[in-house]
Amino acid sequence: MLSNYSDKSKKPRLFKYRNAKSAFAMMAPAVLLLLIFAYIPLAMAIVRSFQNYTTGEFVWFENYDYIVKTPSFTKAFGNVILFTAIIVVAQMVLSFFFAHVLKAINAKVANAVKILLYVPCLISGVVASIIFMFILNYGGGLITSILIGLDIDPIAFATEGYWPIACVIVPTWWLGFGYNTLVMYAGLLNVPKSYYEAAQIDGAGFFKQMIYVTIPYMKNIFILSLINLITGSLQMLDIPYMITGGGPLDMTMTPSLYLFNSFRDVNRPQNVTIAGSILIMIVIVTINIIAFKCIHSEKMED
Amino acid sequence: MRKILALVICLTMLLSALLISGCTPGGEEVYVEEGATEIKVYAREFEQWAKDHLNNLANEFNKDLTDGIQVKIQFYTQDTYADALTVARENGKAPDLYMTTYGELYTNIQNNYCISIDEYLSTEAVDDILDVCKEMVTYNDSIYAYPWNMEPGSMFFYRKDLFAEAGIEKVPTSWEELYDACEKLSGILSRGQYCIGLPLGSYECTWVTYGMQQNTTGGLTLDESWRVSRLDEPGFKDIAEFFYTIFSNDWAPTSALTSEGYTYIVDALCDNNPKLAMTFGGSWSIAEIYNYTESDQTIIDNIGVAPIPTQSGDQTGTTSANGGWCYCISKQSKNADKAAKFLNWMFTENAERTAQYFIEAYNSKAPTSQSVKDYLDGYNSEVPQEWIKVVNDVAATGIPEATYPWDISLETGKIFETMQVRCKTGAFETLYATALQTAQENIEIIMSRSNYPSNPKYDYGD
Amino acid sequence: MKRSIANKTKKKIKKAILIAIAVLVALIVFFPIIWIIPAAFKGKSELFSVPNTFFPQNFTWQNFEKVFSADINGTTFLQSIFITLAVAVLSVIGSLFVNMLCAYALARIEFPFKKFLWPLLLFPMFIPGITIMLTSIRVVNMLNMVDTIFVLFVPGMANAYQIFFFRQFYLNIPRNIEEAAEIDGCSNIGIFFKIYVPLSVTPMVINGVGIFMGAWNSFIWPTLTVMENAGLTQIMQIIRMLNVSYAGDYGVVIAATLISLIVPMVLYAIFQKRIVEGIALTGTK
Repeated sequence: MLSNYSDKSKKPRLFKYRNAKSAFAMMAPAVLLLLIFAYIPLAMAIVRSFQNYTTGEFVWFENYDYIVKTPSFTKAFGNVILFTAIIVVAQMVLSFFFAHVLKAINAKVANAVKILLYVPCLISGVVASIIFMFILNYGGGLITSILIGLDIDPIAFATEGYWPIACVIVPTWWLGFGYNTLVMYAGLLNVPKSYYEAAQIDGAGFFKQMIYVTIPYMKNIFILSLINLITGSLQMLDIPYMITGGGPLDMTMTPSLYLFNSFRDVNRPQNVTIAGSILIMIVIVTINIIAFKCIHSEKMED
Repeated sequence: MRKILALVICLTMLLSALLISGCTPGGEEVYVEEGATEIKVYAREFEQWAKDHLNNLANEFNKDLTDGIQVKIQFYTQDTYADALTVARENGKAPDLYMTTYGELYTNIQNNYCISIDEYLSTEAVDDILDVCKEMVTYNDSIYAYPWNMEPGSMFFYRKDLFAEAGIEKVPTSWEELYDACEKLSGILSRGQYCIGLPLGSYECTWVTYGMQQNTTGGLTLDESWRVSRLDEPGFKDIAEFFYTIFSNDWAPTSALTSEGYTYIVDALCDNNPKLAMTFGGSWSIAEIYNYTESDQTIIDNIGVAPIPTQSGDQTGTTSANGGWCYCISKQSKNADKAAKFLNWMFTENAERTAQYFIEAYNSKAPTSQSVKDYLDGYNSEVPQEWIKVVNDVAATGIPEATYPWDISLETGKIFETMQVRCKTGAFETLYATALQTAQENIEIIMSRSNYPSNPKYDYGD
Repeated sequence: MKRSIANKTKKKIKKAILIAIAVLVALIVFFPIIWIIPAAFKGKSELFSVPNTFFPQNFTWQNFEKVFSADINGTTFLQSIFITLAVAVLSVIGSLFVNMLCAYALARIEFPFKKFLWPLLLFPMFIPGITIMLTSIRVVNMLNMVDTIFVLFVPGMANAYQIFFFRQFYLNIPRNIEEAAEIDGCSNIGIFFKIYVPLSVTPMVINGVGIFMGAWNSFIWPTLTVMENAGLTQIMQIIRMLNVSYAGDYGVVIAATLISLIVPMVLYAIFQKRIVEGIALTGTK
């Protein structure tokens, strides 16, 4: 009896893992590469964030103390909240509605529009910045030219009033709009038709259908987009770097840009930069954990 | 389809392999010295002539095939210079020689980036360095860098033809006169032309206004102990009001008109139809005027140079900080003695050789040693004598840049930037009050860091 | 009867309005790219002239000539296009190979410690580039990769996001398709190449294009790692350098920017159908 039992449990186990060797062989390159180029640098970064830059002795939280007592850096975190709020509204809401428009029109036109929309997604932040700086050029860009034609004083978009925020956000929006719309569009198509039909029988109009059917069904897509947008603005770098340099008065400074500049600052003990970047990582990991918890509990309920 | 893709991939690989192996950028002749030590120099890339000059120097030095030293100079733009140094140091491959500014030298010493060069300099060489420069490179009684040049960061440039057109007879020496001049000029300028170019943004407003701060308030952001903020001094408010007045009247452009902002601001003054009638500018602008106009005498004759206008109108005191660059030997260098040999060859052995740089710079920079200064005094330059005199006078009264943490100086710059960006949104008093409060709070925060440094040149008495 | 006709016209009008909106939005989004095309053929004086016209008054090739003839810190524009292309292709091949193999093993083969390994493979997704930027430089230096072509594509080859993506994709493939092959005596690797690779063309394209664009568009990492080897300068670095050194002659920058867009556009034109299709895969898992 006993031997019989153990036999039974042993056999499937052996059977189960019979390919383990080839699995490890197949995974080896990825595991090794991640170990060398992600985990080792990360471990080094964590250790160094607790060390003094010149002597290497452990000073624990001195570097963190330095970076949180850097006004531009803390301001950058505040900016991210504002940027995320604006980008979420601009990106998600517009994409969501535009996906509805695409769904309603005939497929040929929709396809052509989709193809055009996606083009900016292939462009780098550097190139997008150059394109927008050219259009917004203070000395004589397209906008300046139009304004002077209307006999209005040209606007220095990169420095005047709250324009710099727009200067950073518009290209960011532009780069992501196509992708987000297509994702939303795909999500919309996934909502089973029978749900809408049921809602229509209940007499729900377009907006009611959206609130009670579409949005709940697409909740996971929204959460994923939201994480992408938040982590994206925490790590936003090339566009503010090229267009505003983080100014004026740190209005468009992002944490990553601050650290990138700090890295390029010969005056700065670099372990302080590392400490700051570890703080960013902690924020990103926390946000992601919360979001994934949300998605998972959502799936449990289903 | 698959075949085409494979073909494309193969072709690109082949091409790139060819390119990597075969294409080393050609150029000047290369001197090969068997078994020589390579001395690597990192240099900031400035104007083309400055780059050529340094390359020629290195080439000349490398001609000597018996000294066992070959110099290799690597240029980096403003954008990438700091990157290059950080990366090289991270990798333990720091260049043997590198350039830094006087303002940053102390942090370089603190971070253990460079070594004292006392032992490599002869007594005569040390004595030859001008006192003003020696002061800037000496810490704890040791010399840490050889001063290359001195460049006053703020001087005043103007268009004589526009002044005549606007009926301005006297070059403004005080702020009041400057406002008058702006008033008159704005009557004759068209849209897209501005009365005066000023430093823009907190970075420029920090280092360009050092001279102004010294002149108006008798010091910079912190006092000698680096423990007390001086921002309460009324002079700072006056400077802020100066910026407020200029920008609220639309006398200055609020966005850079030229590349690299303040660095080449003088370009906007040099066109036949200039965008600026007056501008602040560093002394290097003189060389830029010659380069930009390709020595067009008709435009050069129309440009005037003066010290910046001051609050009181007295221009004999400090009106500028002495920016400029010095050469350091890396701590990581394994051939410090050989690097020093090149350093001495460039700067201390032959005054005529060293002076060549200042001549090519159209005397837009002040020399750092007595022998070079003497040589230049006897040299007949094509640059107007009064321009050279202004540079030398301003440099002679110039102060060194602040050496405490840059964040702190930057807070002062932010006050001035607030005046530039916010002047249309509120009255001066309220704007200044909030800007000052923010700056003071931020300075407090920065000073509360646990590893906040002390002034090495101040006696704390304990 | 009347009512239904009115309804029909109403619906038609509504549709027409929606189409108009869609086309308008597409044009607005596309406009910035359109705007720089003629600008690349404008001369120095015309570029920032007020009023600004769409078509150049004096058509000139001068900007392009300057782009191709300029010696940019020891390299040329053409050379950097080739080298960037090579790096991008190498990245795509290396990345897809490494990540797909790993994802397949995770999705289809049972092995010990899987539960423990999976989150470890996933976690690097959340490490911001800036956090490990400095220390990565040290690592590649220790491996003697600095200033070689390897530093441009090897460190980024294994990618947690792609592993996650492909694993998800393989999990959704019904298992029975491999049974026949298993009976034929194929090894796991054989099954992977014979059955799974041909099935995953769409995700391969979507990720491949992503990797390609990532390589084509990167400028921070190359700036920091191939500093002393001008021959390896990547195209975005060149554009960034031109942006500084040709600020006074901006047409050159615009021309270079325009050329840098050609490769992505060609790529998009070839794979456009699969890309637009594939987006559905990325967002809705």
